[in-house]
Amino acid sequence: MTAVSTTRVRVDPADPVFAGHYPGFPILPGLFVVEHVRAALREREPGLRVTALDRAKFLRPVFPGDDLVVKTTLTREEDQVRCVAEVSTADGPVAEFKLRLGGAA
Amino acid sequence: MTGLAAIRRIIPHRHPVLLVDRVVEVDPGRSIVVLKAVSGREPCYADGTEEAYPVGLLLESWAQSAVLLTRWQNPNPDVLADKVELITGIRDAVLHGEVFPGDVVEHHVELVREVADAAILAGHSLVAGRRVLEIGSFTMARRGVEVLRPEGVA
Repeated sequence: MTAVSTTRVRVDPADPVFAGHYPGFPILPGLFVVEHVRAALREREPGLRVTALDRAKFLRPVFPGDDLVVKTTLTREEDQVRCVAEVSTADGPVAEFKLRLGGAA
Repeated sequence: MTGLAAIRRIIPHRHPVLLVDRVVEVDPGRSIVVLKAVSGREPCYADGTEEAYPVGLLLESWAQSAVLLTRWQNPNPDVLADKVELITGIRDAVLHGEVFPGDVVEHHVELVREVADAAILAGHSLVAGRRVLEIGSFTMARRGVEVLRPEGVA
């Protein structure tokens, strides 16, 4: 069984992360994009945690003020949920993930 | 022992996203062991929704350890004066267990291959001897800030 869903999130330029990454050149740490995917998944699959990141591709950096579109495709298996997440801005894809979720928190 | 002051001289990450605390072992060009103490005072715990340390932050902390290794002999404390390390990919990362405030994470990073402006690394992370994270393959590239944002730096 496969279910697709899309959420949108604005990368807040006031997020304190940008003060330290990096001074004079604010850019979202690539791995923080994973957190936007997790936030999207938390709404759909509360109680599940990420057990594996089988594959991640980072195609373009994310800057303060970017509007991210997070598209997640979930496939339920017997003992886990597989997730393909595609994150993009109006300029095109920024990252792609293949995750596995499992275990109640 | 290499603490925060020395770490800041090697990598450009700064508070609140400097997610490594101490280098305990380094074999330049080969491997590094870095400690990260997780605290309930970190910004990710401010709104009370997280209990386990967020996966993205755990991975970022491991990645900063990787940058420490690749920049050990070629420090990059300021991205405006040098290049930016960008993650390009991860393969086969497994989260064996969760990490909580109070845990000290021990990141182990090995350099698999380095060519010009790119590097491949691998490793794992331990908490009190228990394996919490496995990284099959981690790739990163160096890019000049002018290439990333040609319209100019903010």
